[in-house]
Amino acid sequence: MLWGTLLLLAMATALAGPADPKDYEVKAAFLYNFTKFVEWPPHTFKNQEEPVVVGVLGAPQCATALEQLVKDRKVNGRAIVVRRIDTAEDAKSAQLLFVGSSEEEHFARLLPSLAGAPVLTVGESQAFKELGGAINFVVDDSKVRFEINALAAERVGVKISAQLLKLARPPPSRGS
Amino acid sequence: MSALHLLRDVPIRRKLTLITVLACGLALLIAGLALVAYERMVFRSSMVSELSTTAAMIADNSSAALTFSDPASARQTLRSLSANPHVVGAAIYDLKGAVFAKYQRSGLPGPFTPPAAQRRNLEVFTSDHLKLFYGIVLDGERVGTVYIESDLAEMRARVQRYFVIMGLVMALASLAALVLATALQTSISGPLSHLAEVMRGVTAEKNYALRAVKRGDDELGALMDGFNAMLSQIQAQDSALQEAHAKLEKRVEARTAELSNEVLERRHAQAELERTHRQLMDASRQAGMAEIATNVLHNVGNVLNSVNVSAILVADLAQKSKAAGLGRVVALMRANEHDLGAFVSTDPRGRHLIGHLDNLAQHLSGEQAEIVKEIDSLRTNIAHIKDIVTMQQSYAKVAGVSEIVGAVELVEDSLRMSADALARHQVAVVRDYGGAPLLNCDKHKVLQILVNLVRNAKNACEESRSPDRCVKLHVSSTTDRVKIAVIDNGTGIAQENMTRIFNHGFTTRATGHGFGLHSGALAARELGGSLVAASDGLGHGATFTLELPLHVVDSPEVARG
Repeated sequence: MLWGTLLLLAMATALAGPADPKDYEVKAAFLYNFTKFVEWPPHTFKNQEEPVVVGVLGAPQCATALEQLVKDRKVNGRAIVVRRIDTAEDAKSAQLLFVGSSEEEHFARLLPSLAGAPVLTVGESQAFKELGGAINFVVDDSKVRFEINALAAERVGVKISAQLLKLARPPPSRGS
Repeated sequence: MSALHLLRDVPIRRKLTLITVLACGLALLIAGLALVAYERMVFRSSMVSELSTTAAMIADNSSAALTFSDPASARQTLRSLSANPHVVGAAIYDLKGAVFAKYQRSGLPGPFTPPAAQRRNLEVFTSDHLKLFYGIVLDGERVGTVYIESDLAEMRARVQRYFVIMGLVMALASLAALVLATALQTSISGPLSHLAEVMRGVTAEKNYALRAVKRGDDELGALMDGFNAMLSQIQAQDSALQEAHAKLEKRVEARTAELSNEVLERRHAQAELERTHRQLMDASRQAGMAEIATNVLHNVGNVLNSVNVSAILVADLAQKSKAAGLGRVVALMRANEHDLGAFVSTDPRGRHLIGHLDNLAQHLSGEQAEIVKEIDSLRTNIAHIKDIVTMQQSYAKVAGVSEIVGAVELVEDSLRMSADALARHQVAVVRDYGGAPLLNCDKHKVLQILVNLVRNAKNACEESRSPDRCVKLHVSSTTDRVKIAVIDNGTGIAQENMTRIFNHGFTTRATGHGFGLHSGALAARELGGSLVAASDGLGHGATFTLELPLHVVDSPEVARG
């Protein structure tokens, strides 16, 4: 009983508590790094120069941090473009889509139009996870970690490297 | 150098085997060492490349962990190194060089401390470790460094294994080489030992007819040929030498025989000479004896003359004796027996009778005196004869016995024996005796010498025809010698004869036999003395001096001493 109450409390803090601005810097870095360990289907890019687009839904601090971070960086020879997402069309143009913790409903609305598009979705809440997001940030012992729903990524044709999978926090076993 | 020195006395058979095995072993050793060195080098580089591969893998697998700062995952990645037991420790550094994750082999004694991170890829071999730095690059961007430290046990084990294998191979190869060398060395050592055997035989038995048997046409064959040729030469020389030697021996034998013959002949000659000498000595002695006998007979003859005269005288006296007148007186007296007194006083014949008897008595008395005188003379003469005979007998004894005798007595005896001859030729005798030294010698020999000398002196005087012929006898002595000199004033000795007078057979007289002085000198030498002659020349007389050892009577002091 008590155990369950404590767990619930902790979860509530993690999920509902206002996100630490420092956490967004870390998360921005993670987002950037994800692009290195992810492989999109070959037809995603028209040519070698086409940049990787990282879409950010909500979480403006994160977008700002990411924009700072990727300014002069390239991934596999491609530049990185940060785009604040609003419409489904915007969402479809991105290869990586970050959903801020307050934007789950918005994401849920956009979700149907994303079906089949090679967009790796990243979120930071239990709700997002339940919506079928591929990667979900969790803060564990004040450290930013992530969970991976490999099936969700596979479904849209995005390959996540084994290294990244290895780093992912194992999903909590059912019933805990 | 010392190894060669050690090898020097080893038999060739073993030398060859040893050389083969050593050469084989050495070649194998060099090859093996080179192989091991090469293998070690290859292994090192392969170790580097293997460890680099591992490091690359670790780098690949830890880039995400590094990127997402997940040291646990990096540690897990590093833990995969436990599959390689030689990796002692490993570490992952972040871009700043701080240790991000580290690994150490279980069972290490202390905590593993990674060295400072290197910015570039680097591999370092220390004495027992290989240290390797490998950059972690993600998307062309360095994100960190992997460090792996491996021990060299595997390489060591491998090198050891190589050494063991090499040792085994060397042992096997050496064994094979030994077997092969033992089998093949006979092709060299066999002929050599055969040669040595033959040489030993030649040396030991001096048999130059031995020959080495050639087995091939190699250098050894040539050596055998040379050896055999040499032996032939030696054999030829040896036989020539032996021949020469035999010849020489024969010659030596012949010469020896000749020499021994000569020696024998010489000995014969010497024996002959000695015999002759003895004969001569005997002759001389007999001559001396004859001389003495002549003298004796002469003396005896002289005395016998007197005896004869005395005997005739006595016989005459006895024949003319007046004893018959006594008979007639006795017959006249018997006829007048009856009146003898008257007859004597009256008868004229009777008156004359007494006067007649007186005359007769006087006559007979004279006769008796005459006869007694003659008988006395006879007795004296007979005694003289007896003396002469006794003396002769005393000298006629067997010679050769030494006795102590006075020198003067001997001189006197010699003079006595020649007394008549000396008197007959009116040779005066002068005696000059200094003392009475004693001699210890064979007196007959001395007497013989002296008789000879006296006779020679007498002869010399006789021949000189000078009016005052004289023989002087001089006896003197020193501390150990006795000198008897017979000095005459006769004919003397010519200077050219002085050296020859003692030679046997030399004489100056027609009737001389030439042995007297010779045997005298020899006898003097035998007696330990000498006989020397001196003369001032013809007509000046001669002196013969017989020198003999003095017999020294032990003085009381000496006896007491």
